[in-house]
Amino acid sequence: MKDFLRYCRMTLLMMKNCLIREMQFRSNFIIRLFTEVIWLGMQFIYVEVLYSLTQSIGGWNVWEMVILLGTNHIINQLFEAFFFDNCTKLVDQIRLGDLDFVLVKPINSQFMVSLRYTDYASITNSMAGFAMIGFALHKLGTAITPVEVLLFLLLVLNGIFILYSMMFCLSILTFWIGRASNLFELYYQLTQFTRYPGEIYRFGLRMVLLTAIPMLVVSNFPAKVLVGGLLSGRLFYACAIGVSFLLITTWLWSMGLKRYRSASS
Amino acid sequence: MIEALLKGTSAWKYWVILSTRTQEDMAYRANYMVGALFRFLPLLTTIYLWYAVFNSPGYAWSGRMGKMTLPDIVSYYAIMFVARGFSSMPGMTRDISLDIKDGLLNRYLIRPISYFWYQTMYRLAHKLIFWLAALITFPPVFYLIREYLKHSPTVLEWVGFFISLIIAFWTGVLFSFLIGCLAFWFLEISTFLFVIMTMEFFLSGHLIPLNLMPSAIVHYVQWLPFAYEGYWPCMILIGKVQPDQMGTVLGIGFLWVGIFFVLVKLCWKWGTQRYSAVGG
Amino acid sequence: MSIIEVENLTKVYRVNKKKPGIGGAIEAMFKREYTEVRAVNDVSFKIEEGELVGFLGPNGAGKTTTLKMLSGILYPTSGTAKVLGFTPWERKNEYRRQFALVMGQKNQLWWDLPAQESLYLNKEIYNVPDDEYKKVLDEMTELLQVKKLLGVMVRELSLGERMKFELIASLLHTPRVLLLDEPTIGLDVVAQKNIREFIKEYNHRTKTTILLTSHYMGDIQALCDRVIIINHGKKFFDGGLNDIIGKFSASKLISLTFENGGVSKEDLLQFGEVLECEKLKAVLKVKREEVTKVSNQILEKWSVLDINIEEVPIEEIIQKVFVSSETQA
Repeated sequence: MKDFLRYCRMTLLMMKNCLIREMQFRSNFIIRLFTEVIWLGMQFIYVEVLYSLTQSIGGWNVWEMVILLGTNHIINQLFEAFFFDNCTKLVDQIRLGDLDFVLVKPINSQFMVSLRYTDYASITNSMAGFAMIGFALHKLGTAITPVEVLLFLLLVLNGIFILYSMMFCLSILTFWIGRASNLFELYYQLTQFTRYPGEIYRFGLRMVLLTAIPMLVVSNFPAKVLVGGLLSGRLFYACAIGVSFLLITTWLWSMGLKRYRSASS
Repeated sequence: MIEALLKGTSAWKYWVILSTRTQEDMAYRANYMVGALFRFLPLLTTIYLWYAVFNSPGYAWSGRMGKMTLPDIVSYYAIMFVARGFSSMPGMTRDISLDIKDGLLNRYLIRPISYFWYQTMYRLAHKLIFWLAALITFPPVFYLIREYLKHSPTVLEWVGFFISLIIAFWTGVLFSFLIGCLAFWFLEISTFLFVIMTMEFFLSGHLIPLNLMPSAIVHYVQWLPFAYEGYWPCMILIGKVQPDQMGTVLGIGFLWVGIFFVLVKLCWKWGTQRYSAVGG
Repeated sequence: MSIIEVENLTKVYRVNKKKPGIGGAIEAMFKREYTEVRAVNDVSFKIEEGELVGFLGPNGAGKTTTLKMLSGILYPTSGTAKVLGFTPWERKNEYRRQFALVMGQKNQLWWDLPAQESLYLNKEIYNVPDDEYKKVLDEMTELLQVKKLLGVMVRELSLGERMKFELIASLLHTPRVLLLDEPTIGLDVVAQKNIREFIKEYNHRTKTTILLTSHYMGDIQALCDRVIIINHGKKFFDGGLNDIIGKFSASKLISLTFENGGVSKEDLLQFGEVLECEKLKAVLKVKREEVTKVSNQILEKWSVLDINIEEVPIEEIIQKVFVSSETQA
């Protein structure tokens, strides 16, 4: 417990440092927000084009699809806010030997490298996702209970951790195979699967996306809470997946550190 | 053999650049093959998504947009990979802007070498590797979706397609170079680049075939240079460009390439003047 | 028990080879060849609490690799090491709380933040109590004269100032063992002197055990009584700084100032190697055991105003040592 509090304090401290840092580059905020709005606008047009041809795709109507889009947006943005930069930077840190100082500190090294930088623009950007969901719920006329909100947030968190685990594992493959920038592309491509309803995929692929590469657990599950249709069994399953992925990450990290070469400048 | 041919000519140094770059890329083999293969994943999701649309209970093709069948759509997205394989220049703008910002440009300015051609060769090397890997990765993918590739192009369409790929490559290189040159005038352009990339993704027809958008938009968007980075090569090969339109489509493409060439020359001239005046 | 005990420590790297040209690149895609590099080869030594030991060697000798194994950054290929009774590469928190590593070529401070923010983060990482943090920080900034710079962005500090903050950041938790890797690299003479004086003072005051690598002889001479010389991964010498002279230098230098001119280089050659020969001055390098004989002969032969007998500069000796170990390897 004492340790837990200490780690929370460290997280806040690093977030504070990043805020001080980011204040120096304020204009980034606006441009980033602008980009995200354009991106979302494009997604809307896509959805609009698709639903001008039909009423329902994989059993999701247009506003349910918007909820899925919004959920996906929140998860991706929050993942980017806390972990994305850290994971990409990790590749160079491993290659160029910049992990040295992390390793000599009396603190969990994975924690340090994973949370060092916070990208504040992404936090503000995630708000757009909440707005989309709110609007879609209003259009659908569904009322949401506080329990559902809590479950939704829990599964969003779970989704972020799954994305983190996958990206982190890809980054630290650098320990074994040198430069791994193309692996990030793999990450990007895999996250494609979080965008659409799982029902559109064939059975075999759907099973893969629920287990080995649980992209449907990431976004479909939380969206289902709001759309209706998430059973409690699935809830436990989602959390089990999240926890086991985190455990794999920790194990892989400790294996990787044994191969760390600490290149000198 | 190529080496023997080029040695002594002015193209020799560019060949050296090209081959050095190629070696650098190959050194990271696992990385490369993984990247090349998984790039097709979006095609898979897109096929599933459109399949679901075309097979949903209430499906009806809306009258407001050009008629496309499921095979048309799948072929479009598949050919998009080929087209973007020619036109997308990942990292080029960033590299150029960093060279300018960090003063690394001096390295090139003092050497008897044209920075523009250096960058072009560098990208060509990239593309060469890309297509080397594509020889292994593309055929199985196209084989898997063979039942959707219904249209067999005419000779004219094949010729038009190859010409449009040349346009696609040059549009990509020239546009990326131009945007990179913005660093001569603006300090921080990395976030701006992201906006441009997003727009490019949309306006090239990469996300949605441009002809599916409201006709008021299509009318203008299809004649922008971005459409030549993806949309037009795809439309030509799936047989959506009539023989009498072919000339116009390709002609406007070449016009854009010409305009971009002039703009690159001008930007470079003004930019380097400013660069040496400010001192990098 | 000694505070640092190293036994048969060995680190082998695999480096891959590539033939030149595109052909080589294609070949490397399918088949890779590796060569083994023994960065550290069977090194053993012991260091007692409170000692300040210099670790000397040319670039690539294996100094930094040894230091990195002692700080737990690298796993050794074989051999053992105990620091404060811990095996470093197990990375126990109890161990990591008790030592510090400072590297002249890498920085741990946040580039875009004032140094004080990084220092505070370190305080939290090491769990240093508030009052102690304040005390140590005051003391250190005073000693290194950087109190005024606490609020300045790290990227705007000079290299020397940044190094001072690196030191402070590493000493906040008052480590019992301090590992310094090239702490003065790239610094100007004044900054080098400042850092050296600080290290000496700190060792003197706190009795912290310090292991220092450097390839500047100046650092070692100013700070260490004991040196360990390493080259090509092998330990070459371990002992007092003065013992190096006895062991590796067979000669002494005789400087002469003559009353009248006319002494030529040829005249002096019979006594030993002539390093310098001007109108009235000359420097001779003479075998240790012949020094007395030679100086007597010279004094008899010419009228000499001044005669001075000294040891060959240590830098030169070390250089010779490195070169000779080169030819052995």
